[in-house]
Amino acid sequence: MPTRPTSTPKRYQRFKEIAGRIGGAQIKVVPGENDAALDGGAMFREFMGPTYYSFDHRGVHFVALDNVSSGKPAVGPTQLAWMKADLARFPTSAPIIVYTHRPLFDLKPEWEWFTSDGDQVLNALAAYENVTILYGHIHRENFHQRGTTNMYAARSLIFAFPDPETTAAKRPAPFDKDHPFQNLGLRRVTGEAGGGGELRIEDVELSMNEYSGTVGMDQILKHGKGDSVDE
Amino acid sequence: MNSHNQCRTIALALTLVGAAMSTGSGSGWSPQRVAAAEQPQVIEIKAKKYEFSPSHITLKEGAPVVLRLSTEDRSHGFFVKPLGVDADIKPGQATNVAITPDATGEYAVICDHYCGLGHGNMKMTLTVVQ
Repeated sequence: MPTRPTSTPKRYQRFKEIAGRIGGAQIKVVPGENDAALDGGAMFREFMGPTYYSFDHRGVHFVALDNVSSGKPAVGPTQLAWMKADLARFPTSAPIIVYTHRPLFDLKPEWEWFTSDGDQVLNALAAYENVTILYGHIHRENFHQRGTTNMYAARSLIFAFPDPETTAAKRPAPFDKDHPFQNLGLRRVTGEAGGGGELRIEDVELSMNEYSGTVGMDQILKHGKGDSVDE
Repeated sequence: MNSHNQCRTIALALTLVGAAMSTGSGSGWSPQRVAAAEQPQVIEIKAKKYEFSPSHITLKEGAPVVLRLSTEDRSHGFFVKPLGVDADIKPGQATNVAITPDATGEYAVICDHYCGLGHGNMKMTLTVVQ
């Protein structure tokens, strides 16, 4: 009997409702372990579509990889073979953006910040000269380079993790009500139409001003007291 | 020396013994696959959401041991990157991991099979002493 994932139908519907308000943009997502690791990605596929896929947009080839739904931090041989076949039609100069949840390299294995077969993915991508990899999971900024492949993690919208190089324990950074968005935020990535050239990476600071006086901000300042129950 | 460099210096005589060998009497231990001739110590480790019990074990450098892993609730993982150990623990069967540590140090063991919201902090410590 499949185990119920942490995400719920109501949360998926709410996310789609909010994300649907973003005008003029295609919304592309990959699952995190809380979405797909307990049920093999079944609920994610029901509400959001495949857990891995690819598409082309304005001369850039995008590849979404799933390294969570097997339950382990792994892509797996089936998906790896699919990715190799998917990329085979492109010249080595093609601009390629890969996005996935966990880092594909050993960032901090003892915090489960790795993908066990990430080396195989990176080796397959190494033949291509213009590869950018975007990932999450670690709730903090990070940059890593292997050969010509650049890998970026953006800050999270919820609790930040500390620097694993200077922190022994894996615990979210404590909440500071005077700086509720410290170490949180968005990252905007833009590139030239038709590919080529460097991607432009911009950090977008969150601000309390826009939300001051709202119920949501009151909840943050009260450390979550009065949170609504959504399930 | 940071842990990453330390990892590279470690060479372990490591054997993952299949679950089929370990269920029942545990007589599936294969002494010829372990460097030392003596009978290895068997250490029972139980996993459940979101903890290992015991949460800390101490091993002796050069002394072969078998870690007998079992779970009380659902599937878990037993992952120690520096030692090259990546074992699955499944309900209803024991998983034996045979090791002979040859380098002292303290190693973090994590569950690498997602088991729920508390999974990220399911861990234990393995210490190797002289």
